[in-house]
Amino acid sequence: MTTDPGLTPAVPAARRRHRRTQLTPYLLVAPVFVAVIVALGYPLVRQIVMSFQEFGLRQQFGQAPEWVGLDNYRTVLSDPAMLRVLLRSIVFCLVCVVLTMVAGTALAVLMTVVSRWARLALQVALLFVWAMPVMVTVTVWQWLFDSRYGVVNWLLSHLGFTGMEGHAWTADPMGLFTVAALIVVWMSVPLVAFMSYAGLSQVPAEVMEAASLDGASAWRRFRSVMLPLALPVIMIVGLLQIVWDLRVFTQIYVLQQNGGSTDDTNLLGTAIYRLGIGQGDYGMASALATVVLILTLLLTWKYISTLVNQQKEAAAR
Amino acid sequence: MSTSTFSRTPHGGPSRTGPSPAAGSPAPAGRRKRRRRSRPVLNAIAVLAALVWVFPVYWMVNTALVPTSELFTLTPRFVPFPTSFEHFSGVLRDEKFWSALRMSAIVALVVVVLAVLFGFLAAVAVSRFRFRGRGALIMLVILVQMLPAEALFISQFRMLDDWNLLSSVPGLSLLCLGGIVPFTVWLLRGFIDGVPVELEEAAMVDGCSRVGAFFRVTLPLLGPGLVTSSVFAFLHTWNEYNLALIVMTKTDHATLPLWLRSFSSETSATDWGGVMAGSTLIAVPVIALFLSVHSRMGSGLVAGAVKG
Amino acid sequence: MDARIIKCAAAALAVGLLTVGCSSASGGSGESVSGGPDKGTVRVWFMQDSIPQDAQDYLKTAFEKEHPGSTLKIEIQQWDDIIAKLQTAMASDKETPDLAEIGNTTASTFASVGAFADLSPLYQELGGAKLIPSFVGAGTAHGKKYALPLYAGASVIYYRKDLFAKAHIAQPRTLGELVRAAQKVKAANPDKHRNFQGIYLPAADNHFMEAWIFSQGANYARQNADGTWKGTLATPQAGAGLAMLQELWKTAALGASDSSQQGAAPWVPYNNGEVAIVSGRTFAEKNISPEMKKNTAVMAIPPVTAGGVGHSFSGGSSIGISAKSQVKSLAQDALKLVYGKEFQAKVAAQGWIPGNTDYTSAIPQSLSSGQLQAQIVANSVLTPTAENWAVVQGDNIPADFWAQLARGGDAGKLARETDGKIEKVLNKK
Repeated sequence: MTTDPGLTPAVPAARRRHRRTQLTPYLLVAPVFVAVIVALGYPLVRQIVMSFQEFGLRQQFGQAPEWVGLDNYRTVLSDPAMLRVLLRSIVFCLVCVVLTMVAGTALAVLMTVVSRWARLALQVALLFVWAMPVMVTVTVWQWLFDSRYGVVNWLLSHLGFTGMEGHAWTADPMGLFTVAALIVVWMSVPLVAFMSYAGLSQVPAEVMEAASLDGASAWRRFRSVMLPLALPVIMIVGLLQIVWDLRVFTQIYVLQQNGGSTDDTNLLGTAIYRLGIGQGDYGMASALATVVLILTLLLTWKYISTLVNQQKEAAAR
Repeated sequence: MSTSTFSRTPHGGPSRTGPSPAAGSPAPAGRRKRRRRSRPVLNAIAVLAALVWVFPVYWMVNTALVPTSELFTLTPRFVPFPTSFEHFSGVLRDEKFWSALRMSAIVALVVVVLAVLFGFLAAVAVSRFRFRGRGALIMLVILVQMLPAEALFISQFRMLDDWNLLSSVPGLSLLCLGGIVPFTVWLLRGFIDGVPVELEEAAMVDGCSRVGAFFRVTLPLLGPGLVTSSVFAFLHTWNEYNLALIVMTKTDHATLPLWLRSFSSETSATDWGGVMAGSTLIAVPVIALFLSVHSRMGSGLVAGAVKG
Repeated sequence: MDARIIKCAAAALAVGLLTVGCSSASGGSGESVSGGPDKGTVRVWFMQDSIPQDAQDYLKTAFEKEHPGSTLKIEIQQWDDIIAKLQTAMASDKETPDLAEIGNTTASTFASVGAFADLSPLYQELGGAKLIPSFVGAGTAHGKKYALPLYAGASVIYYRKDLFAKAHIAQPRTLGELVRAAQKVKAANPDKHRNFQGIYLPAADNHFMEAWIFSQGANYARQNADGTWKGTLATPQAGAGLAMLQELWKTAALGASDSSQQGAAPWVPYNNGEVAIVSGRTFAEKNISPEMKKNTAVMAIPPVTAGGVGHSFSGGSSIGISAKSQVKSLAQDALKLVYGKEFQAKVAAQGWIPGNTDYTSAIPQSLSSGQLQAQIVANSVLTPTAENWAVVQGDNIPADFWAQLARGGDAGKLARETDGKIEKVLNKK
């Protein structure tokens, strides 16, 4: 481990200060704390309260809600369709995350080895994609995959897959998930690629040089030197991707509107929405949302605690 | 472990010589030689990847420039020649577009300013002070990302209704702010960590107050961090759809994503050309923003990330 | 342009005031919907592309003239995600629209849950039996009328009379003949168009699908004597319609699995010459290209046995006063203007069947006459007027059923499954 004496960590100084000031940090954190509590915390509490009530459209329009205890949770958890939704969401999430991370990291590595102009071209392309609003993205992709006038079917049928002429992609579950996953991966890759590239390019040149002189192959240099050094970045991005892809909503919802297999394509986000807005059963939707939240926490718990520990270690040093 | 290595390498200070994605890092001689043979191939792959990724964006612009009469042909029009500006001029003449643009810009501005200001203050606290609850930050960031928004917005609506904040800039801004500000804290905190506290202490020796030292020494080094977190906050707000839908009940308060829906209606099919022109115009400010700051963002991202 | 609108509005205003004068003279007692201050702002929500601009202008001008110091504000809403917006906004005292247009398939849900104020006392004054009966039914809950018909659009069939003539096909008089016509015209393919099909039949156009079972005398569900609902897709009547559809998809139809966006634009393949027959609501006509229009004839969806017209679904909207409105008596006055002659005639001039069928004659002459349209609407059938029907729709149950049918699923099995799903939702308390 190389230590640059000019850049020792800030901790001792911070510790010294700790004794002097007690109130200042809390005052500094207060605005953020208040904003989060007001915008998310309080509604979350209301949502949890609602999840113990029978709260539907009638209640929304003025009737007093009735307490039903754990009934909503019981209904949600005993519904076999919900279990399928859950499993489907996890699989969809994992597929998207793996594809995104592989493609993103691969592009990041590519950026480190290509000529400057090629790198710039790639980066500008990714920036364009990153800047696209979600609604816009979904609209464009629907147009690309339009069964008769879409460019994808045209290309495929001219490449020899004549069966693809007029193929309705979103009509069956697999097709819908394929398009949805393509959209999700396409739009998530830029962030992953940029962050991973930023991480990879911080690997000091001397380290790479040393490894190179030791006769390490390109793959070995990547695996044993670059990857471990860039790993914290990649892990954080990976976590964010997992969390984001578990609750993917817009892509699925918009494609579902084409009809065909709503039951077989619901993921957690759309299931909650269809229970809440679709069926007007906010109590049940809230219960499901709470279950999803707890589940997400459980699924990512190990991951998060690793990160928190890393942070603590860093702070303790 | 590796985290600390990072923060101490000469490349590590995001605030100073953070490598920009555009600049790249100089390759050592040995590597360069070995790479020479494969480089044209790799360049070709990179360009190919760029084309694949950018194609949908190109298709959006292309569709916006093709006359409606030629959109539904069985052989797609791959280039927009002859060009038709009917869709763009239609959008630009639509006063609802301009009012939505104004509304989106105002909300985005409010959220960006508040998110960066609040986020910065909290990041200072987390980075420069030790206090109880400090470690909860990363939990908060992750937790906020996890909340399933599809159920929450009913409660959020009722809350704003109680407070008379519906159809108002403060109402929508508040909800957007809550969603993004933890992320802002997390990003900025990485930057402040990257500025050694000794620099401030040195300034204090020279007679600055602590606050003065912070503003004179640390703040100027935080440029990329402030830029990066602004961009994230901007993107988050600019794209917000569900919250805007239910919060902005008055139609003259519609934001751009809401306005975009006006191209599909029950009685006439989706006006693809119009949607694509509208989408292009919505994406333009974001792309412009990204291109103008992207070299600073590269370092920004990593600083935020490696510090956890 | 503007000057003309103003002139129109001024003329309309004069007549409108007379109408209003009359109606308030004969004024019924609308206690249940009255109340609120006599000055204020009335917010009216109309959907995109529903009420023509001149009718909107008329409503605003006439109302404000009649109520000095009050204003009427029309806000145009988008159809996308309107349910989410209505569910939230109408529950708010401050943000609710005072008058709201609502799609006729969701009207019964919003009527049942108490989103609208009771309009029963005003019913006679606003048109009574002249109002499209099936729509009044959709807006009725617990014996009270909460939403009244605003307009309806008749579904018709457009076909290429030139191709029919070349293939020696007469205008089909029954559904069976329509199936054979599609098959024959495809086989003949007079224009030698590549991949030519007889009829454009996207399953995503649910309402056209429904016509095939409605005409057979079936529906999705019917109400039992005890008030519960029974799914009726797995009946011989419905089965006959489903079989015809599947035969068409197998032999002579384009676009079975098209997206709803594509299905909403039937004129696109029609203008391209890809098909000879399309179904559409009457507003589709303005999207048919001029050269195609020359060769286009129009007919109603035919019945099972020759004579008369078939039973189709008439899409359209209802309107009601929000239960949360703070200016109910003003909103009530605005509603009277909506049901006045001026406004109704302007709606009809747009090509809609107006809520009050007396004004159908104002529908402009086009390929489909006002008379034909009125006949179609008079024979129209609604989806079940159950409180939870909007939930069935929100769950995409009909959309999924038709899509799976179009993919060649076993009709009997699908019908039974869907009946089960529909019953489960409709009978949920």
